[in-house]
Amino acid sequence: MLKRTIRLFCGRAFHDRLFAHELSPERASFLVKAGVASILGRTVVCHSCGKKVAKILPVVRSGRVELWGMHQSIVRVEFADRNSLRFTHVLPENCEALRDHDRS
Amino acid sequence: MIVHSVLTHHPAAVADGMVAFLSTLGPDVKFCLAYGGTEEEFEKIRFSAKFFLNDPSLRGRIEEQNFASWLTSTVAWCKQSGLRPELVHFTENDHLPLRADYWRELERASIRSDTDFLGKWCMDRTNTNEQFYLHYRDHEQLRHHLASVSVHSDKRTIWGALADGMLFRWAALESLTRINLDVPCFTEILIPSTLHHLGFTLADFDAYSSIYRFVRHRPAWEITDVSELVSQGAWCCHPFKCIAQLNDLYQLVPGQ
Repeated sequence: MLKRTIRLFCGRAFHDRLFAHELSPERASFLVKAGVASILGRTVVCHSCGKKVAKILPVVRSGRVELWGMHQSIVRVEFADRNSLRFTHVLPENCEALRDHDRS
Repeated sequence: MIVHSVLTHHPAAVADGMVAFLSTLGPDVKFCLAYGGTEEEFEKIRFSAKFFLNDPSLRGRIEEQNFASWLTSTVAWCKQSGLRPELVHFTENDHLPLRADYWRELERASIRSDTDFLGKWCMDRTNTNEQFYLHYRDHEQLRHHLASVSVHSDKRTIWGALADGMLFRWAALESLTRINLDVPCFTEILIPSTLHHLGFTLADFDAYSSIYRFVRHRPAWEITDVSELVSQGAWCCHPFKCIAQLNDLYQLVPGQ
């Protein structure tokens, strides 16, 4: 049942690699989270440049807030107000606000 | 003046070919060759400005490599040669300049940034989700090392940068090589973090120049890609792994 569900939702290639033990459990968990975030997640933008940071899905688990999909970008995080977080790119190659030259 | 230190482990003929290519492209630049291969192969290299690195970490996994011996040996070579350059540039063998004004652009970026160190993806990684920051933020030996040299009140700040393509001002490099860098920490975290805590200023190349636009982790560039990059006016590319095609690549670059 589990195998069939994974194959249905994650595709045959993922299923075959997982059960052939080519994927570690950690890597498989990471890929599942990334896949779910790409389908169910919402886009968050950079506080500085306004461009997309990642498509993420917040999940509260084991007393922590997990941000599935956030691995797509390297970001700095801080509270925007008492209830929300804001994210900022840290690499100039991703963020116009951090670049000091004409890249044309 | 710029000193450009190239790290390689390739066979002697390939290493000599690379230095010949670089010396033709940048005739005003002082090159030196840091060799991380075998001693037998090192002896066969004809280029005279060479030194052997016997640090075993250079022959291990990337995450365990410590480039301190490369930096220290380069500074020692400069002093022996009577050189006191303004800038010292460090590249690995898979980093290839593609324009004769590559080193001029390095100087321009350094002047524009007005910092002591420039690197690719060079940034304060504190409180980010960057993987090496997450790995090393509670590393006891690194924290002790940074606290022991730090001039800042916040001793927990961690910087990082790609080890390939680092550009130092001489004073920063000389200061860095005076302290003990024998810390079991990935060189891409250890070097920038130590520089920051010594009180030097750091910045990302991409903030001041597009010179490293075609520097990336993977995939490696192919010869067909490089041909296109040259026609686009790219300054350099990294990584280029196919040593069998290096001579063909050299022919693509204007000024050769």
